[in-house]
Amino acid sequence: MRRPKSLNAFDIIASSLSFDLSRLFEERGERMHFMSGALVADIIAKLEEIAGMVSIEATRNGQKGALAISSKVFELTRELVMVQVCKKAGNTAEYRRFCDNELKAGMRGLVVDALPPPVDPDECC
Amino acid sequence: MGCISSKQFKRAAEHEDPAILAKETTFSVSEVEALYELFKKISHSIFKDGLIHKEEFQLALFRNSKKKNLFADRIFDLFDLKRNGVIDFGEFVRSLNIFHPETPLAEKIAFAFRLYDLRGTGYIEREELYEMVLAILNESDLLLSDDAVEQIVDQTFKQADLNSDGKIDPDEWKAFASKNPALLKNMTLPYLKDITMAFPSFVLNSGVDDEEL
Repeated sequence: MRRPKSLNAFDIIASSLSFDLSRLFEERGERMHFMSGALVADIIAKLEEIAGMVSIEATRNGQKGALAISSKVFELTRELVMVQVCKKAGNTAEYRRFCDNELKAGMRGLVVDALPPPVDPDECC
Repeated sequence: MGCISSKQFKRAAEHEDPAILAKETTFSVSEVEALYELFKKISHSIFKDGLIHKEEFQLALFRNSKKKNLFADRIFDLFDLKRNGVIDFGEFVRSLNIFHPETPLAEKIAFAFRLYDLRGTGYIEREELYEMVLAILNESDLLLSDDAVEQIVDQTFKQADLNSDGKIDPDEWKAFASKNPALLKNMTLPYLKDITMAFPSFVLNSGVDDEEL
């Protein structure tokens, strides 16, 4: 498996939700981050597992069509990665429900800290 | 559609004349006029004086006028070209110009350097980088051990501080940012390219009357 892209401190700053002037202008997109000390392969396997459970729901109930989520894993230090999850398509309320329920529950064993609530802006992943 | 009659600008000082601003920036005259609608909304949100105060800036960014934030402070200071504690329309347009997608990379690189040089020493010191990373982590409710933050800052300095003097000078920053253009993604607001098209939503939602400045 390819090693995740290494993030330096300035990458973190540039991607940060704290620093985002687009908030002056536009409606929020949806994106969230969390940290994990788990192996990348485990994280991806878990995400796929969670997505698998949800996708059946989405095709049945989705108003805007299937909910599509993209996820990227970045290496912060040797022990720590940052996982970025964004909504690519679909209903925002559904995405938030997914984050609050399936995603949080599924990732519980792998995250370093509590998942922050889905907030805020930017062009995605 | 979003046209502002010239009489509204009759009393504008020369440095705020849309034609002049358009000439000196990447914005067209109609884009400057669109920015004026946004400026009016922000600058009248708390103090009805047609100038953006820090609280109004915070309100616009965070929907909370009291919210303190390291980067909001830095941006506000850099936008306040005259250093008089408020942002006027000319400063607003000239500063936002840096974030236009078509503005040359060199300007973005230079602005980012000043942004990150928290104490204005002409260098980005290790402590400043550490402080910025901490500020972001605090904002985002993410927890990292001090060790982890140290490691991240160390790794970054190893890559950027070419002469290993413990600080990043403008040339080292230029070289580093040029090699890693993703570092500058917060220096571009794609929205600025479409501001005239997207603008109607501000006109519709804005409760601001067409007051004169």
